[in-house]
Amino acid sequence: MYRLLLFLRRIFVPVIFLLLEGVALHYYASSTVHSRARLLGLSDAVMGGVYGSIAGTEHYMSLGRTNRMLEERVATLENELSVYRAGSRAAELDSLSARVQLPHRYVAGRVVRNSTGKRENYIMVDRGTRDGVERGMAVVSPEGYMAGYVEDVSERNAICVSVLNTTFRASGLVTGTGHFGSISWPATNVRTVRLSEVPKYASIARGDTITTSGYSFYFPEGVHIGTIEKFVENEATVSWDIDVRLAVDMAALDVVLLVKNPEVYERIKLEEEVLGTTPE
Amino acid sequence: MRGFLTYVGLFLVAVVVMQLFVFDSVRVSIWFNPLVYIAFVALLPMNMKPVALLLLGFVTGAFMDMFEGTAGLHTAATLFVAYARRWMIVVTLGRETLQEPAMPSIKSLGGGRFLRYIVFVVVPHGLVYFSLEALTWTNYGLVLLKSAVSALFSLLAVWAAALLFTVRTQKKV
Repeated sequence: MYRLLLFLRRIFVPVIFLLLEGVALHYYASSTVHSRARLLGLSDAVMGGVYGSIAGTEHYMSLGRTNRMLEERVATLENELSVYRAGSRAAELDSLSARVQLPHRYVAGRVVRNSTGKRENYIMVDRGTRDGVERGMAVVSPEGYMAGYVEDVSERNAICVSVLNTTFRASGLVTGTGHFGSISWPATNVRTVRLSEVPKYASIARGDTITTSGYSFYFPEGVHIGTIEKFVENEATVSWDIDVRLAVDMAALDVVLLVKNPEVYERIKLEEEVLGTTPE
Repeated sequence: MRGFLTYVGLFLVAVVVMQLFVFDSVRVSIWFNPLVYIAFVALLPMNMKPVALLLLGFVTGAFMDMFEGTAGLHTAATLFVAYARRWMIVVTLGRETLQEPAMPSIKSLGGGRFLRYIVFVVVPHGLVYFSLEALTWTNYGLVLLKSAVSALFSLLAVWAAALLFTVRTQKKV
């Protein structure tokens, strides 16, 4: 009995270590993008906007405010413009009695937290549910370049999956050819993403523009992604592996526009019905 | 009590201010991701009970995971260091040092020995963290580069924290 107690005392620390390490690794292995974004949102609730004030010191007070006002103005104008666009399209299609596409909705916000050094980078934007932000909204730079999408929203903030996140996916179109492929980030560099699955017979050239295709889950059609930097043939899949230079400078991202694509919700619902899962 | 307050201060400076507010907001490149918060675990008293060390390592890692949204990654790496620190002290400083009820300091250990000790704490931490983050052997050079850059900054951070916190406690005495 005494020897058993001695034995237990000897293995006590390694057992505690293995137990805690097991918990940590299990949590790491079983977490999803959404649960990790949730975690970031939770930390913000604890810090109560400290990150916002830190980001604020990076700008001059008045300069920030003026800038913000201008961005908001841009957002309202974009809202109005999209209504007109939808209106004109409806008029065009009137004779065909086609379904009118709902206009996109824009919300301007400031980046309060951003990282580029990890394999999974997230952007925190100071706009939340009270500003009308919802999960699944696209994140674009003020110039209209693709930057990410909203993964989780709290009352005051939105946690967005950055383009520089290995779980990020979008559908990219080589403009002018009609060929499209899958956009992902190989985590080698902050200015390059990979466009794969573009068929080998597609004629592409260095400098070709890549935009989001209508098959993108979160993005409206035609959002500028970047330009072709170089491409090599992938023998295994008989397609091009294309390096795309991002138009957006993620490290210098300051103000972003959050765009609501009204069809996202229909798609999420449909995929849930068909596949029984929420797409990542 | 004063020791406890010193460590609360160390946690605030190393983990909250240096890691979360300073280094996490510097965006230079993909390989720049220093993990300076390990200074807290490295500077815990040398005679600390292994179980207490593990629990503090767990808390530190979980805190970092929560604020960086990494879900268990920091916890796994920090726990490893907290568990192995005992042998790192034995290897670099000698078994008798495990009895000393003080913070490892440059003055008491000497610059060379202190540096050797913190290298043994900081380098494995970075390697475990960045390997687990990548979860692949392809492009392992990038993992090594990230670990090396991180180690450089972490060593400086531990050194600075050791200077700051040992000077302060000695003045009070």
